[in-house]
Amino acid sequence: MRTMLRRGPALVIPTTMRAVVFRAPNEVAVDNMPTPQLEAGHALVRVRASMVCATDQKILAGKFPMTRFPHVPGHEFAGEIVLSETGDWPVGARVGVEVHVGCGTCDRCREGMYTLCLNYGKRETGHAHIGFTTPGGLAEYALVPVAALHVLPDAVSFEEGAWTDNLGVALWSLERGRLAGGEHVVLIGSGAIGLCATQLARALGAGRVTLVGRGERLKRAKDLADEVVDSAEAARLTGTADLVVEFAGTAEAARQAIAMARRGGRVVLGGSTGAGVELSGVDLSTIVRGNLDVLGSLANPKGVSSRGLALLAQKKVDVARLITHRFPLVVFEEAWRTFTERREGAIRVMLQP
Amino acid sequence: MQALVLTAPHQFEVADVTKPGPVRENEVLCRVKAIAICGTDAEIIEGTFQGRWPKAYPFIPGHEWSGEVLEAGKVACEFGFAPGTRVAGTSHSGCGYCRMCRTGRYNLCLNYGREELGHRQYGHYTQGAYAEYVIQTIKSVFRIPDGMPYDVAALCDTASIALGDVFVAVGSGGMGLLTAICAKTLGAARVIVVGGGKRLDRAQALGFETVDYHDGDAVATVRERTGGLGADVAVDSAGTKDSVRQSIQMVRKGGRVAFTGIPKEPATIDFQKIVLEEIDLYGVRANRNTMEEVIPLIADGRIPAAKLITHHFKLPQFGEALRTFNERVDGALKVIVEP
Repeated sequence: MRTMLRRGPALVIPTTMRAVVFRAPNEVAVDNMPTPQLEAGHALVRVRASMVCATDQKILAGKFPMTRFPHVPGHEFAGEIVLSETGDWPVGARVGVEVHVGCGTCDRCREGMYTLCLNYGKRETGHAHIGFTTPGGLAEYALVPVAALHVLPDAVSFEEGAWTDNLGVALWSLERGRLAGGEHVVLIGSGAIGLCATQLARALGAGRVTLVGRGERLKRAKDLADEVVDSAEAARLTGTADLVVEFAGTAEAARQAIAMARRGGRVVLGGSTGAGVELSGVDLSTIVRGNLDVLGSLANPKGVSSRGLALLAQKKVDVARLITHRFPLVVFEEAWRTFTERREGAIRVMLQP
Repeated sequence: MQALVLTAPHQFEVADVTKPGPVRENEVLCRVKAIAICGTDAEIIEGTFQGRWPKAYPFIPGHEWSGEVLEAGKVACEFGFAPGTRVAGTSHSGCGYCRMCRTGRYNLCLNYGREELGHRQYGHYTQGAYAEYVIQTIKSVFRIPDGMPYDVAALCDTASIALGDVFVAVGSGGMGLLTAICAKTLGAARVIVVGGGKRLDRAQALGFETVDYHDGDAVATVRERTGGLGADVAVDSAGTKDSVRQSIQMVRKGGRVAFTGIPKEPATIDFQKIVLEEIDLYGVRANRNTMEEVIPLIADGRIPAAKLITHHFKLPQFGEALRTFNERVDGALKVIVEP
C-alpha cells in the first residue's frame, strides 16, 4: 500500500483496482489489475463517475485500429486527484476530463486543433486519446495527462462533471456552425450529444430550436426544444433552418440535414465518427445553388470544454436528466446491455467505480 | 396630426402638423403606438449634432418605435405589410444599391443623407416617429408577434448582439443593460455592469454583478474580479473619453471591445496594449440585420425588455418625459412616449 498525506485524513491508494477490461474484440470483463503508477505530466484520478458511450461499442467490436487489447475503456468521466507531481493540480482537486491530448508540437496542435494531432496514437510524443489509445476511466483509478483535466466548478457534481467531454463536443459543433442569437436551429439526433447541443443552442440564444429524433429518447427530450419532430416527418422542415447540426451518425440524417438548411445556411455534420457510412442521394445543386456551408465537426479542440463547464455551472444546460440509469462498476455487463439495447430509452448509463 | 416638432436647438413644441404623405410603393404609413426616448434623441434635441441630425428645422425626431400599418404601398403590400400589420421600426434604411448596402452593411450606406437616392435615417435627418403617424420604408420596419406589447416592441431597435464568457457592459443606461441582457441570453457565463447611481440598482435587480465607478478604480475592480486576467469582452455604451479608455483596459489578452456609444470628443487610448495583447476593437453603428433575430428573443421573454421601461408619458407631456429621462428622475431608464 502507498499512502499520501493531504489536508485531512491520510489517503490510501490500493495497489490493485477493479476495471472494465476489453480483453479482446467482443470480450469484456471486470478484472482486478495493478493501479496505474504516477508518471510525469500526469495526475492519478480516483474515478467517481464514468459513463458508457456508443463509441465504446465500436472499440469493443475492434473497429478502432489504434486500440490495443487488452484495453481499459471509458472516456466520459470525472473524479478527484489522489496523486500529482505539481501544485497546479493539487491532490483533492475535483476534475473532469476531455479525451484528446495532442503532442503539442505538430502544426495542428500549435493551432489549438489538437483533436487533429498529426502524431495521433504515438504515445511517445505525448499524444493520448484517453479511453481509445490509452487506458480510460471505466476503472477505480485513471492516470490522466494534466492537459486533459478541467477543474470542476463548485456547483458541478462528479456525475455532471463526467459530461466535460460531451459538452465540449456539443458546444464546438455550434461554434463551427457560427450560431447567431435569434436564429432557427435544427438538431438531428436525440442521443446524449444531440441533447446537449439542443440545450446549448438555447443557452447561446437561438430563437427557435427544433429537435429531430425518434422513439423513446425523443419523447424523453420533448421539453428541451421548442419543438420535436419525428425523423419520419422531417421533410416538412426542408429549407427552413439557419443552422442544422447532425449527431445521428447515419447517411439518412446527413441527407436530411442538408435538405433542411435554408439557402445560405450552415450544416454541421458531427455524428459519423467511424468509417463506413457513405453519403449518397444528395442533389449537389442543393449545396451549390443554396450556397450552403457544409462543415464537419470533430470532438472538442481549443479547450472548448472549459466553456461548456462554465455554462453547466450556470445551469444553462441540464445533464443530470440525461442520466437514465445508474450501476456500480462491478455489474458492468448489466449496464452495458441497458445502454446498447437502449432499454427504457436509455441515454446515458452512469457507473460508480 | 399631433407631433413633437423641434424648432431650434433646445426648442421644441407639441404642435399640429400636416399628416405625412403620399405613401410611396415601398413604404408604409403607420399609426405610432409607442416611442422610447433614446440618449441620441436628447442630444438631437440639444442641438449637439445640428446640421447633420437634423439638417434643418423644423424637425420631428424619434426612431425607437412601434405601431400598426394603416396604409401600404403596392410593393409593401406584396411583401406582406398589409394594413393592420403590427411592426417595430428602426432608424437606418439604405439606398440598397451601393457597395455597403449590397454587402448587408446598410447602416454604412455610401449614399447616406441622399433622400433622392432612397436613403433614410428616420428621426436623425428624416422625419421621425414622435408623432401620431410616420411613413417608413419596409426595409426599416419589422413584423412583431401579436402578443408583444407596443411599449416593449419600441425597444427592439436598441437590443444589439454580443457574445462572450466574461462580459463587461460599460455604461448602465438602456443600451448598457440591453447589451448585458443580450450577453446573458447568448450564453455569457458572467456579466458585469459598470455604471453609477440608481441605474446600477436596476442592473443588480436584473441579476448582474455591478461595479460603481464612483467607488474608485473600476478597471482595477474588474481585473481583480476576473482573477487579474480581465474580461473576455467589453462593450462600451457610455461613449465618454474615460469609458472608451477603460473598456479597453478591462479586457484580457486577445480580448474584444465593442463601442456602441457615440463619443463626442476624441479619446486617448493605450495603443501599446492593443498591439502587444492583440485586442480586437469593433465600432458598432446602430444595428443592421439584427431586428429579426432580436424580436423572437424579446417575444419569448429571454430579453426581458419590459423590465427596462420605467416611465410612460403621453406625447403632449413630452417636456416632462424628456426631463425625467435627462435627469434620471427615479432612476429613469427607458421612457416611453405614446402619441
